[in-house]
Amino acid sequence: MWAFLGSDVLFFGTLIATHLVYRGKSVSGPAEGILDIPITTISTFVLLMSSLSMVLALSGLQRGKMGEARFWLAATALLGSVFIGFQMFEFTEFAKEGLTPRTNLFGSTFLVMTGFHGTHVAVGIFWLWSLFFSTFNGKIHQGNALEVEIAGLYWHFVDIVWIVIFGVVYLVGAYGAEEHVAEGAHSAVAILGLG
Amino acid sequence: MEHLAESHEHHPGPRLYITVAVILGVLTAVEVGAFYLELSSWIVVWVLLLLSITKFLMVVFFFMHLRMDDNRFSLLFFVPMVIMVSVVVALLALFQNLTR
Repeated sequence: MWAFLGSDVLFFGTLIATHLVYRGKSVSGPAEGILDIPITTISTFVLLMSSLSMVLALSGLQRGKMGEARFWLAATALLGSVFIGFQMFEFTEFAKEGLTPRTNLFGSTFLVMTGFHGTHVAVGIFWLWSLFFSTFNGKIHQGNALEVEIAGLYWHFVDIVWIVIFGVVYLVGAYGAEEHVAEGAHSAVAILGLG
Repeated sequence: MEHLAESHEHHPGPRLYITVAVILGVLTAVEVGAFYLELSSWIVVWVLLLLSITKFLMVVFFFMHLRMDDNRFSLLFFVPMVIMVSVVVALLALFQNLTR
């Protein structure tokens, strides 16, 4: 799993790098200013709390408390679903305002990057429900908690990718868009004070 | 595998996990608060980046248990991370020069 996560770091790295390189270079349609920080803060908090419920599920299973493990596995999957709901709401609002993957460079790079992250979350939700139901037929028990720990690694990875996207793309990106539009210098390097 | 089995016994309990989650929540609130502060832009941006890195490392070391796992797992994860950050920095520097 760690080898897969290492490769996924490079995968998301290329998507984030591409988005940052093309920041501030869209010549038409809505761009960085369209990001809704309050809504995304809530969805970020939901995903952070799903990491807590994931690790509590593993902790319960390792201590042989099956009821606790089942409760927190289901809670993690549900919190993940809430996050996906927020993302669908965000994408729908963007579409209403005219931002699609074909609108401009911002739309292409942002929606591909966050779309792939959402796909990872969706895969994780299916994985969590399969583990949840496997606790009832005896396939998942205290003796093979490693199965849940591996799924947990994947889930926490999805969380840390979002931590980076929220910090670098949403907060820094939107902040840069508001602060530097007048100066015409909202490239990533300029925002960092290095340009 | 034996090492992994041993490391499970040393995993921290729910109290530490909840403490880490509370700190992560507070750091997220500070991030959003900093976003709305009217300070010099590059100061806010670097604060946001530092807070993101702190949250990232807390999840990796406490929730993913990397601080108590085999060092080879750390290598598998952090070597691609260094490569990724280098690629991002190099591309930003390159494109900044090309589009100036």
